[in-house]
Amino acid sequence: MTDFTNPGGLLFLAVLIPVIILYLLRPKPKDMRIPSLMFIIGMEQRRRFRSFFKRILRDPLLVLQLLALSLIVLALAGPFSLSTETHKVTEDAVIILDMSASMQAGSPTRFEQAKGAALSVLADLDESDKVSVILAENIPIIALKRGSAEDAKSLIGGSYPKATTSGIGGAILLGADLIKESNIEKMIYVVSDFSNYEGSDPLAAQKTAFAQGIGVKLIRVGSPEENVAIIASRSGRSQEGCFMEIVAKNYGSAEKTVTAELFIDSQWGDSESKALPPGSAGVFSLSVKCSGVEHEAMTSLSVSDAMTVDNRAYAIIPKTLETDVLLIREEDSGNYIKYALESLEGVYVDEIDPPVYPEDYSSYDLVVFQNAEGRNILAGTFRALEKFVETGGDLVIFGFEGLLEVPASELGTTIPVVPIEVSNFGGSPSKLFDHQLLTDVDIESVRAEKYLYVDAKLGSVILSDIAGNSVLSIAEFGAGQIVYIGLYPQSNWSDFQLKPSFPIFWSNMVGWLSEGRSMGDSRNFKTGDQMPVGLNQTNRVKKPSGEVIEGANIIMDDAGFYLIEKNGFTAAASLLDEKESNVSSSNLGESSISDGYKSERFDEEVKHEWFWGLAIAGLIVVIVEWFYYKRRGSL
Amino acid sequence: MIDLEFIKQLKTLDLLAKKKIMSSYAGGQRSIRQGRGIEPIDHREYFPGDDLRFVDWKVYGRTEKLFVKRFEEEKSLTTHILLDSSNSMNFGSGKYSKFDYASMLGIGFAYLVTQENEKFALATYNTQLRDVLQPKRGRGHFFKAVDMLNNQKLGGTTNLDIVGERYGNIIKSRSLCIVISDFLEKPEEIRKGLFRLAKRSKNLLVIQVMDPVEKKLEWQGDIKLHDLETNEIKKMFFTPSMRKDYAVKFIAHLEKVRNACDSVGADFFTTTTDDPVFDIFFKITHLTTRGHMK
Repeated sequence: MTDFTNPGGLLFLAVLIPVIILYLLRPKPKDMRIPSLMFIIGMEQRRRFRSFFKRILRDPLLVLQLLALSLIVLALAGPFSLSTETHKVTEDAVIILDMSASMQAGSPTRFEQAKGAALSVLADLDESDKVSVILAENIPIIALKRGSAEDAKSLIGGSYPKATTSGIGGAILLGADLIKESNIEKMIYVVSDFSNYEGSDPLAAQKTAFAQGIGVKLIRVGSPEENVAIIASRSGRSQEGCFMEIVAKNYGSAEKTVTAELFIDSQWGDSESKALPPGSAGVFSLSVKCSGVEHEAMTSLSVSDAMTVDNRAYAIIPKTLETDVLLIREEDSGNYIKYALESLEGVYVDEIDPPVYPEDYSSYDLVVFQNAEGRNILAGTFRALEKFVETGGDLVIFGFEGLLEVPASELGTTIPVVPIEVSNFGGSPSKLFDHQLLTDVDIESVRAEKYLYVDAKLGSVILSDIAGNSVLSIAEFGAGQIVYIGLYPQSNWSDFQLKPSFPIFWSNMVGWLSEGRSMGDSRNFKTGDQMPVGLNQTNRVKKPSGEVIEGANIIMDDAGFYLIEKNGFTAAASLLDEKESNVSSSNLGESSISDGYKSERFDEEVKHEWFWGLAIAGLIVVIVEWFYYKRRGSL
Repeated sequence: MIDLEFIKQLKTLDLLAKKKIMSSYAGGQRSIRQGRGIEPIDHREYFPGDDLRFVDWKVYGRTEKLFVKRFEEEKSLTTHILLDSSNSMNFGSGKYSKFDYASMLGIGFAYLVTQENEKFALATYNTQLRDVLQPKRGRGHFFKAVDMLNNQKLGGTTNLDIVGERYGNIIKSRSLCIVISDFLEKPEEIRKGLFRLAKRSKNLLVIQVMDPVEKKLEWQGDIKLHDLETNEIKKMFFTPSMRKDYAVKFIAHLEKVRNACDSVGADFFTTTTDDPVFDIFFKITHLTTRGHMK
């Protein structure tokens, strides 16, 4: 539709009338005689188009003048037309990309699909839109804040998923907080497989964002996949050497035969195969002989499944711990215990002869109170031992006769039993529990002629007894552990010390007690954990990927081994997440997922003014007229 | 109009051109026209000094005596003068119209012929022959020609093709034919007409008379043109470019006329009415002296 801003200007078209009149009134042409028109007629015949033109318009000059005037007058009248144009709504957009381990499933991976979806969203945006990018790792990270679509494309193109879970809900809340003050259309696009999340519920976060006037579109990628994963792991040293015990779960719909292989410092050590029914888990125990130094252990599953990051568990097997033992015994006591302890690698034995006791037991890891005569047990001895155990030390105390002379109050909690009297009858112990202490120990073959009758204290665990009377109990006190052994190593009491499994018993003892002091667990992490690497300073850490990062606390977002460059310490991180490895379904309902992600459009009425076009056209006609005048010789 | 003043001036012409022009067509001097339409009619005995080119060697072969050929030009030559009297000849921007100028030229030639006591014929034409004076000699015939031209009424268009055919029948013997016109007709008609005349007369002299205005139309602007020949009227705005186009076409037409003359062996001259009449005779004299007539 066309209209005029100044319709009154059209009245100026009346100026055309005097122009036409002037043209009509112009002087008559000169009469000229010519002998023959033969040359002029021939000339005219070549200009037939002019003849044709002249039949309609007698003089092109008049037409040009009328046209120029008409265009100028029309331009002054301000004509315009209205049209409807569709515009894209300018957006302040946040793109949230799921960076979790489950995004590595599939081929192409879900992450590749997510990148494609994110780039499709970006393709619909233009320079007027603001784009932010949040990488939803277990802790959401703002990677781009109100930048351009081009910046976002570069960033997304260079990103890769981690071996952690993702906090999608938290990322949505973070994104909402980022753009809530914006006064243009606010949109959050979440690209994920929605198979697992930690932290805030994404749907709740979505509602929170809606309430703030922010649109949230959930874009799902990926399809259900069959997967087998390691969901739990335990490692350390045992009689067999270095071991890793893992739990593997089959998330698929069919039985899978899974082989677990143990590698110590990249050398193959052990393997075990099992058939895992669908939906079930199985335990794989792997071990191999290894030296006492620190080792990097890895268990890997040989199975064809959706993702590989959860097919491996990593662990640092710490070096054999040195155990400093203090043996408290009367000088003429047998050396069986001493020799059994000294035969163990990393065990260093000091002896004291009561009534001489150290003021401070803290320099020892283990105190073995073999025996002492009643008179040689000083007041406060057991109080000091109690304090030692409470602060993390371990105490092994035999049921020797001198204990009967110590008041119960004096004994305190240093002994998990209450000594009563020496037994009248002998017997052989019965094994009540299959405890680590009794692994490969044939305690039931021991013959005890004498032992102390004791009452078990509440909280203690009796591992072996003779006729209901504890001869082997354990208890915890504070940070330490206490073991009571009622089989006194003296020939007229028992023959335990003569059994071949006696040294094994002490090896088990040291190993079991030292596990509590093991550094291994403090350097074995789950992905997503933070590892402190420096107090009040930053340190450089080499990640499993080879990337070197620096910080005081390092987020272990990749599975594998980490190296702290300054001190050479290594740490291990494994996924070990039952929920994250379940890539067979989505955690969100179907109805929550958006179809498509086209930005909103709106129609706008646009006014197209013709002034300049007409004015320029009029000017062109004037120029043409000038050339026409010049060509016919009037100028 | 041919007046007494002009006739008096013809004496000058007599001095300038008489023998030179006429003798060039009479063959008394060596001419490039040798062998072209000039036929030997008998022989005479060779005298020392005669041109050896005219010795008849065939006769010598038979008789072993030298004889020279005697040519027709040694006999009398009739001059036929044709004047275009179409409407276009009525155009004149100066003192004389084209017809006036052409008449003076024609009378000039008639005068020269009369002085030689030779015969001449005079005719006017447009699309056909109009007035014709049959070949005669003498002063009385000359003044009859003057009267005829002075009383001539111009009119009609031109067609030299038809006229050439008709007048050709009048030419009985080898003669000199002079055609004076503006030649504002189709080149093909001109060529055919000249061909017919040249065929009968063997000597053809063509003189084109133009007005200086029609050579270069110095007009511009709105004009209403009257075609004198056809009485057609044309209104137009005459522009410099049209002027250029006209000049190009005009020159091209002249070339065609010249080529038509060359093709029939006619001598061609062009003049304008602002040139002194006797100059054309001078031109003809000058070129015949050099043995080259263009």
